[in-house]
Amino acid sequence: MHNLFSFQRFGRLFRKHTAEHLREYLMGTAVLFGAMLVVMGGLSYLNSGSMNTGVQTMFFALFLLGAGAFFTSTIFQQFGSKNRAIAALCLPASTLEKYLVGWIYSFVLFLLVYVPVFYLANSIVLLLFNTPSSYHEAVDLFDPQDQPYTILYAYAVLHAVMLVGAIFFEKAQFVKTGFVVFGVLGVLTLVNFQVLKTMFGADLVTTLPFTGANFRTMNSFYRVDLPETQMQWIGLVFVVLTVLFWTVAYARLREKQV
Amino acid sequence: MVDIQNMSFGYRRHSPLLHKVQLSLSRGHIYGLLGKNGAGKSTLLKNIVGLAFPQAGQCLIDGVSAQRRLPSMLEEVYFLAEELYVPALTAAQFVANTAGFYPRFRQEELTRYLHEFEVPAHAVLSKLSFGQQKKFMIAFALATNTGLLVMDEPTNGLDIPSKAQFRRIMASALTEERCMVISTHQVRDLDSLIDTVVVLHDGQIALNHSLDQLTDQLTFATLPTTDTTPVLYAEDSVRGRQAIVPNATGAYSRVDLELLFNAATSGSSTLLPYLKQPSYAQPV
Repeated sequence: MHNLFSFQRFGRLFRKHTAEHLREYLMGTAVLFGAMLVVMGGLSYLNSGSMNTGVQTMFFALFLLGAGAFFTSTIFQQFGSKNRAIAALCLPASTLEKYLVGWIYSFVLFLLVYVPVFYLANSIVLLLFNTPSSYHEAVDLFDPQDQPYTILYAYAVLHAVMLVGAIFFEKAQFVKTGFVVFGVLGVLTLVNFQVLKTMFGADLVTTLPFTGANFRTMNSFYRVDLPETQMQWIGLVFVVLTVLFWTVAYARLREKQV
Repeated sequence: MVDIQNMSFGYRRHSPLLHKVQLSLSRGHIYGLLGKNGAGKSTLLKNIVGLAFPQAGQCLIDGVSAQRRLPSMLEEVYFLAEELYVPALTAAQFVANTAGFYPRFRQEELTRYLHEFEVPAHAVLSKLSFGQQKKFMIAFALATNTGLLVMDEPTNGLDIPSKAQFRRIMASALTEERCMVISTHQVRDLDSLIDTVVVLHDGQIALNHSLDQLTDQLTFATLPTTDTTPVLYAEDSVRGRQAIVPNATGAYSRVDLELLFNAATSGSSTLLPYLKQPSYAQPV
């Protein structure tokens, strides 16, 4: 008996989760598809022409982060209410298997469904609104110049944070996690700004955490950045944070009590 | 099967609901866990199955700490909570997706129990009435054939005929390999079902005796109100004095669970010390 992980048991759990949630997931996908058509189609209609790749990329990011954050916040809803949590926690499967089902659905499968749904909706909108005077190709996710795929890294970070909120809060996970995230970001920005102000002793222009410091003296505008090689380490901070939050969500599930 | 050692638990650190509880439950028995509202019955059951973690001491199931919630342990445990959750699936879909987790699940037993409970086998579970949902889940729980079956207030929501069916089915499902624990505050629902009474009171196990032990040591009788026989506990009723007295003759009397429960939780200074004495020391 493998108490940590068994493929057979995991497959059984995955099938059970799918059977119990497939209908709501399909409805959610349909709603997302409809929202994309209405929003992107509406904007194209108002502009009397199709969207350029920059606008397409912006919508790709907005829908990905919005829908992804919401979906992830609901992925552990079976551990939220007391009666559902009892059934879920007592089911003979390991915590790792229960966690992985949620992780795979909200990260891997969500992306595998989201990307084709976006491209389908985007293609329909382009087909309807492309004209000879306003003709645009669909955005290439792997375009080496604009690198729209980097949004996926942002999704990974957001997913990890929402996953912690999904298991930490028992009700209204999306709203409560949102409050916490914005609260922490607000405090972080404020502290970061005050620290930089103390360091530079000059009038700082709005400066965000993990970016260079912008400040102005007399009529000159300055920006101080870390050397590029060191800036790459900042990216590593987000990788570490993502893995850390995924681990925290697992630990929280392990310690979940009813 | 279940071994609780010096277990303490509280929802707040400094006000324990359960204090240094000691309890052993064996296979081949149906235990009735009785306690007043808020005594901590559900909390004790949650600690037993690993849904709540003791602040001190431990709960072991077959030697394994319940709070680890290992699949090998969970395969041997079925916990039927007072408030149920059933997904929006038909009974057949639910069974197809859940039964596989329990290696000793028997479909033919489920079919038989559902037939006896008169629960439609192909209905969507979430559309059934609460009582029907409860009967389905009781039937499923029994059909899993887990070594430990824990039920919290299983008769809540059942109508009168269903309670009788429940007692009959439960009794038929007991085997030497199985330990059943039923918690309730409706003492009469356990009549002629349980073989051991466990009373939880003031955060501790006030009483843990088999019905055989109780009938050996005690006589439950209705005495005339004028009778002055010394009793371990008595209550006045319209029929006379309902009394518990030492069993001096060894004659059998049916255990009055309600009276016993009232005696154990009333702070009676004679009954519990009397039961704790070794039988040779009890005055006849």
